[in-house]
Amino acid sequence: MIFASFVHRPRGLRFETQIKDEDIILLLRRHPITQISWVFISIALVLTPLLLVPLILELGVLPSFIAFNLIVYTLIIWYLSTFGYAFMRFLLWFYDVDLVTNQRLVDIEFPSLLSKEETATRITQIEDITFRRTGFVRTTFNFGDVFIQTAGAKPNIDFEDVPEPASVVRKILEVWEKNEPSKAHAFLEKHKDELE
Amino acid sequence: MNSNNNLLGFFTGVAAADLAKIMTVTVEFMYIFFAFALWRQLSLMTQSIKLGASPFFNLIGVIHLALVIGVFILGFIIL
Repeated sequence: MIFASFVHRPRGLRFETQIKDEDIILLLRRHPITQISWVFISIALVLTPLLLVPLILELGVLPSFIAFNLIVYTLIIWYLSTFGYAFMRFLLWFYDVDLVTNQRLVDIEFPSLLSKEETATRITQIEDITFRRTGFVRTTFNFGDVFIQTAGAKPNIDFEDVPEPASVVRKILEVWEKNEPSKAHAFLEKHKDELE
Repeated sequence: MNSNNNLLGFFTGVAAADLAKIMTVTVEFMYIFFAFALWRQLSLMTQSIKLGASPFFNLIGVIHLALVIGVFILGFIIL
């Protein structure tokens, strides 16, 4: 459950800019399938020395000045950095979250090491919500992008590669309906077919 | 002319084995910066989003950094 990418009313979760009486309704992360590339790279990095070192020793192509302890030391560095790479990629996925609260939509991103971007908008600022789920992989694994257009100069919010985008839109609509019933109803009437 | 000879002497004076060791330890030294950045990033992340698993991830970050520094020191002992 801790590694889930679609969590309804997550327990024990708080975020830095959370305001008083703000409850988190939905926690979203990118669909796990979008992380497959770095998982495969990490597995390949783990397996490479296991295949390569015996082969090099068998063929005897290693220069004579390379001592055994240097090989061991290099392997230690190799596996440490493989762990570091996998851990960094995991953290960038795990902490890159989109939140739907009873008052706001919050998008917390960590695009790279030592950088953070947080975009938030009040539910009452919502003008339009659309979602996109195109392509074989996205349709098969049921994930896509949810775009939330906001009023005026407020930044638009994009929830990228989130699982079950139609359910996400419905959840946002539920909150929107509680905050601004007339606007939400008008939107629902307009997009009834798409959300069914 | 004399300085050119000194330079050549410097490079030929370093054995290939020593060069390999210096390069390996240098790579490990540079990796310390990455491990430190990862640990700082982790602090930033756990500060932004407080989850039950955050202390555990923080601990992994600290252990990773300590291991990297330990391996760097180990390089001077075993190489």
